[in-house]
Amino acid sequence: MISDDDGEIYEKHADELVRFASGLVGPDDAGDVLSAAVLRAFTSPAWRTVTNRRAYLYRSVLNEARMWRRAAQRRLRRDDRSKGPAEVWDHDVRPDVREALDALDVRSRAVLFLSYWADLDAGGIADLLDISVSTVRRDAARAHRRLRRMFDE
Amino acid sequence: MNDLDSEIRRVVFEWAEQAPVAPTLDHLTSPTGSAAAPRPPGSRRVFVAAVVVAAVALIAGVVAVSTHRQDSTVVQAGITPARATLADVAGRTSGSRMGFPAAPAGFSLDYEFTRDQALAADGSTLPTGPLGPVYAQYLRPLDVPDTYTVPAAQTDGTLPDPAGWSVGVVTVLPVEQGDVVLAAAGHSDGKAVTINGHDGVAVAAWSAADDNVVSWTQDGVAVVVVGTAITPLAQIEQLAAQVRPVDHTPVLEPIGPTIDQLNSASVAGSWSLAPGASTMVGRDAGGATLTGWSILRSAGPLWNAFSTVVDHENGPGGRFTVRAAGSPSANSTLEPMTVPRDATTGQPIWPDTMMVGLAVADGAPDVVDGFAPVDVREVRVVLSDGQTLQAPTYDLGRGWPVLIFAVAAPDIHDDQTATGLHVVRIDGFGVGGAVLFSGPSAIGNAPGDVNAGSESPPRCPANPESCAAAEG
Repeated sequence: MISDDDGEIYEKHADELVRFASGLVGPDDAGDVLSAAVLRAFTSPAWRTVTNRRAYLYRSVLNEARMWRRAAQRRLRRDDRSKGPAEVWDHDVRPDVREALDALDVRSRAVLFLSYWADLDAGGIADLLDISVSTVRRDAARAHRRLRRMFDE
Repeated sequence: MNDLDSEIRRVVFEWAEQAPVAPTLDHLTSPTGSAAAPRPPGSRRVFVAAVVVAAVALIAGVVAVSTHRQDSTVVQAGITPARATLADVAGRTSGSRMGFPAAPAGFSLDYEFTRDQALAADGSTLPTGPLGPVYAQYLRPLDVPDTYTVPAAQTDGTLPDPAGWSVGVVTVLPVEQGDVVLAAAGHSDGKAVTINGHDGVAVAAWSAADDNVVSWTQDGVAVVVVGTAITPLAQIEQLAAQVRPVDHTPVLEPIGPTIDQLNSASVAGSWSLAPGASTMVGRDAGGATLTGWSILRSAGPLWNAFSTVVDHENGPGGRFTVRAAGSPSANSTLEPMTVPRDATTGQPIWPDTMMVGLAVADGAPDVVDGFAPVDVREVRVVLSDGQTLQAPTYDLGRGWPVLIFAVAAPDIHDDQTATGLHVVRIDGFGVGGAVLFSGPSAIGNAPGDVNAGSESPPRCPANPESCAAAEG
């Protein structure tokens, strides 16, 4: 059972959270990841003591995305097949760049998403995800390095 | 904006714009509630099972305690040191606290904390450094251009970093002064300065990621004022001259520990800087949720000062400093002291998680480490290729309410890509081999990195079956 307060919080942040989830696991699984994350957060003993619930939900989505993606990767390996592309793509995007970004780990994707979509700086990302600024910078730098190498080839 | 940025932005916007409509609240709470989007066959069943079991377990406070015996075929690769008798750092007290009773002009006093005795921490990052009792303040510049020039962006391709031009003041025991200066600056060669009549030293940052430091002793304590490399030493000297005794600091109740059976799957662990937790002054919305520890991790200058310098070198691309958290003097190192192959100029290595190793130098083992409740005698780590590592837990002897484990992790490399090994499950065994917790570890995080007190959500409930279900 979700309380009225929790329901209000969810509805307030659902749109931004589902976009965030889409950035982490793709549009196909974003809804499921969000649902699982929200339910897990709402039923957590710590939830009642949380003061910044938006940030908590962001981190919950990130955690859920990690589990979800690992499970998906195992499924893919087990089935020996590749994940097909989504049906709608921006054809202006270089496919190799998209593939490279899709291959990033979940946290790196989160960092890039919050940087480019939400326009957060490293401190804001660190606060939201409860990771250190140096971790944000490292993830961003690593992603850039990889992409740069690929981009320059 | 360069071409690469444009391409990344396009893809990221594509991610966001293709997001489905968020599930409605009713859909969320329905027995089969989940998004309508298609997913691989079978995954819905797993998802529903995981969510239902997780919800039931969490709501009912169910704790699953298995009596499964340990697998006798595990790979024994432990490097865990024997339980050590350590120097008594607890109980010492500093003579006074030095800092800013009120924020100096141009800065806001963002937070301050005291640590009178043993360290406490969350996660696997323990920037303990060599320190005993500590009083520290973290200041950030006001957004007043005339007072402080904030660089538009960093030039190394990373994101702009507001914490990158902040300032910290640390009061430590005189015996620790040299170590703290070294830790903050990356080296210890400096020039003599005089601060309010006291002999001191000013040390320039070794690399762009180290700190500029001014330090002196006064009234029986050592004061170390640190600012990032882009903070001019002259400005730090000016600030240092304004440092005064701080007679009173607000001391909050300690936060946590919150270890309990319900959370034992992942060892809920957010321990503030006990016994005096942090207080924050003037932190704007959002920051108010952070514990002092969390901010400490994010705040560059103090983060550096609380570390231990392992090495500083002139690498192929320039200078870099390698830091580690932990205390070699206590015969413990809680961070791998390795140099990534892809270390870049001026980027110190701050591996804040052990569960997935960074790329390490040839021959250097990576380390999986973390926390465990005090009733856990042994930890088994299951890697993604099925390999298992097993390590005993041990007590650092610092009064922490948790035990530590560390185990060499052969061939864990790179980051969280599909090709790299990673930890998929952690089991904690008590006396007699009883499984006290079992669950997946989120990639890149130790079991103690749940940070409940700092408001990170749990990653897995205590029920190992639900964890397994969530793992697919």
